[in-house]
Amino acid sequence: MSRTSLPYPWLYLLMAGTFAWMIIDAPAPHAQSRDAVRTLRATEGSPELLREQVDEVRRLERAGAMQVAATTDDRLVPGHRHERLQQYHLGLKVVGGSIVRQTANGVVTSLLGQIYDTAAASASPTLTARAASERASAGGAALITEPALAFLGMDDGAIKLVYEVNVRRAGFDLRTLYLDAATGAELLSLPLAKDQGAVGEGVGVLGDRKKMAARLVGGTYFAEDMLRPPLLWTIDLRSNRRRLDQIADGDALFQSDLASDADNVWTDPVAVDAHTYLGWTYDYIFKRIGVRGLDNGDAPMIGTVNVYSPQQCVGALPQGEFGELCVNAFWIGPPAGPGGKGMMIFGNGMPSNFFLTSSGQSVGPLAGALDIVAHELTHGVTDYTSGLEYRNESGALNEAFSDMVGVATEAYFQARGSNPQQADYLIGEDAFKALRPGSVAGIRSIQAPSAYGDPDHYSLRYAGTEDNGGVHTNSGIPNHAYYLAIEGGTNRVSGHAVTGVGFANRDQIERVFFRAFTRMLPVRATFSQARAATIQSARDLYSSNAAVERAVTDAWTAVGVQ
Amino acid sequence: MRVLSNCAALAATVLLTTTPLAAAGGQQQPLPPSSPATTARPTAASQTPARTSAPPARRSQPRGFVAAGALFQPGKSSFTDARTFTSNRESATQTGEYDIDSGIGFDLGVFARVWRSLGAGVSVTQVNRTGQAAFSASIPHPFFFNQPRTATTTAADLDRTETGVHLSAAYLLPTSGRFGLTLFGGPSFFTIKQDVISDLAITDVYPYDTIAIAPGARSNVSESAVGFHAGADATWYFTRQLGAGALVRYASGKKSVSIGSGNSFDLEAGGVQASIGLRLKF
Repeated sequence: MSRTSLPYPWLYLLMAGTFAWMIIDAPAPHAQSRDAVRTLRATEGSPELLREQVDEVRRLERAGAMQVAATTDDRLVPGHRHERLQQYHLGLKVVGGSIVRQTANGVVTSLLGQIYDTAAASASPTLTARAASERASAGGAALITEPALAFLGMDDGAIKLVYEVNVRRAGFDLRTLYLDAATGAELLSLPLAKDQGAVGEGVGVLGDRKKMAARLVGGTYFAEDMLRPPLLWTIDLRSNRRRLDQIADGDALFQSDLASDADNVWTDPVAVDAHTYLGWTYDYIFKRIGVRGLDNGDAPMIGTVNVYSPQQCVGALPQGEFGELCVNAFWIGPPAGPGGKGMMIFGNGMPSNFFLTSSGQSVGPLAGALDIVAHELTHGVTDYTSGLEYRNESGALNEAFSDMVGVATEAYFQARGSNPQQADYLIGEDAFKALRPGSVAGIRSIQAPSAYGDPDHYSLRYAGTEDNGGVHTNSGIPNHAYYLAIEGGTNRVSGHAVTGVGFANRDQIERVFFRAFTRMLPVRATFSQARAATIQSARDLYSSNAAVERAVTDAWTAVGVQ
Repeated sequence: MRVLSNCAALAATVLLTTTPLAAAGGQQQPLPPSSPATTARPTAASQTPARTSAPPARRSQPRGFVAAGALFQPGKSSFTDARTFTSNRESATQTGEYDIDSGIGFDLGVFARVWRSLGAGVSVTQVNRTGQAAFSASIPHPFFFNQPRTATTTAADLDRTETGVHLSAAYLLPTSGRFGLTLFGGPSFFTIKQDVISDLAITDVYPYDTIAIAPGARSNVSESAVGFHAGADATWYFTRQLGAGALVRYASGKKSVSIGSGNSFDLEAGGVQASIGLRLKF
């Protein structure tokens, strides 16, 4: 130490350090609480206010202080669009500063949100990002993202410069932390797991364990699929028959209309199967055909269960409702259903010790049969595409197409075989069981339509007016053509032999028929037109593989359709 | 850092306490230049009873030496960060196989004679290494049981710094002339700073039949470990006090790192270390 050094240097260091600490620790000017948050709440009901706030938001957009973060077209109200705008200051996101702007054909109809006053806010952190990382990872938390600077809108209206960082803590606790960029204090901690898609599980009608794509809202899990692109809801009517009328008439749905479960281990097997099988059918159509749901635009898919309990079904019901709402499943197309988007209804069948006197079959919940669920959803696809008129030959084509997709979906997800939950060429065999001696399982066969009293050759077609001109009967003819094109064989009536593409290549026939039935057929298509369309479709899709076109051509010829 | 400062203090303590002890032993009196240690050997002519009764002249042994050198740790090491967690109602796994390459650093030490040829020493080493990791993940399908999706990825330039403080009991072999040999061993205290990929970024989009993974956030794990070491130092003094030496040490330490949710992985430090450098005798 030289003689010119100041005495007690440690004292000066201590004073300097204390002074520096006071500077660092002093509240920044921008941290002062102020009445600095604007709440926007303008709708068409307040046109003056709406106009004023629209102008204000546009000014902010021009200045870059508000930026569109997401745009969603309203699926329920055509022409409406919802934009989410995020507030920024000095290039940093202002957490909590956001606006939702609804437009109808380009005209703003509502504006809701919060805008924080950022005029005094500075973007100079005291804490380094590395120090923020260390704070965030204290206690062994794993960083999911690196700390990023942002402004946090506080509850009192002030804004603070923070580090936003996502972490995973012990117990799979995923959180977003907002750490004060001056002190490192945790100002806000939000769980990443919240109102979100949740994978649940349940046991289906036939006792099989399945995963359920559900949604967690306020501590309850609802049958709302958040994992697939379209809205996929399963309504649980809980035997509220009147509510079915309201929903079918287009009433808005409430969250409470949906099937729900407290712990995401679902205990209603009917809801489990309806919900999962609708999802599986969407998956099949998407993955096999490349089509996005009902309209190739992810239109809402809504299933309905528990109109009546099985016990109610064998009690006194209004005329016709046993056949319609108990031992039946059906699609009702737009403009019926919630939002006018159509819906499916799956009957619950009867108690297991009851059987249909007409067929000797017991009837379980129809949602428990994958081919039935796929069948009904496919009616929706037809409604949204070719719109095959539901009578006579076009109606039989409509029914047949649903059967084809039903068996194809089974074959996609289930092992081939004749046991329950195995892929076969029967329709509804997992719901309609043979109970009385001599009865059969299922309601139709596309392999052997005659076994169920349906024609397998055009010469045997039903020409009456029952069942809209025999739509569920004459469907046996195109159904059998579809079967022969895949599996090959000889038609029982014509004796015409067909070389099919084989089960392993069935995807070729599935694509050929799907394309023809949804894209090429007119509303009042005939069997003959279906033949022409599918042959052309085979030629279009598989020009280099003559076997596909030949199989399709021979199959129609075998069933007597020219 | 706490381990380091504690050990530095301990090293200082060792130095302070060994010096008076060595001086009290009377072995540190320098011989005049005309009486090198080799001339103390009695000649045949002088072997008379009168002469033998005199205390024999002792060889001059240094009180100790300071070693400073460049360190090379040739061995590669590896560790596995395997994590199991629940995803989509099933068990998911994420495994990172880290391979750490050989590294270089420095080695500073001091050894002091305490009693006869026995002594104590303390060394501080630091080795900087880099490595790479191969990751694999198996994530259950959100729609189906027993249909996990798998993916792999890699990450490079993962840094590791191993700082070791080695407290040694030493045997300073009495040697003649310019050569010195020291054997040592004892406990080691390590601080390991290792870059790890704390999370994988998983791309999992509809229809969820495949996943893609990429290294996500990188964090630096800092852990302390206790272990042991043993080694030898050989020195050639080219002046009275200054020499060049080579040291070989095997050091080992291990620490289990908890990463939450019942998962952990083992971080191992050390290995065979070789250093060459200068030696300063005192």
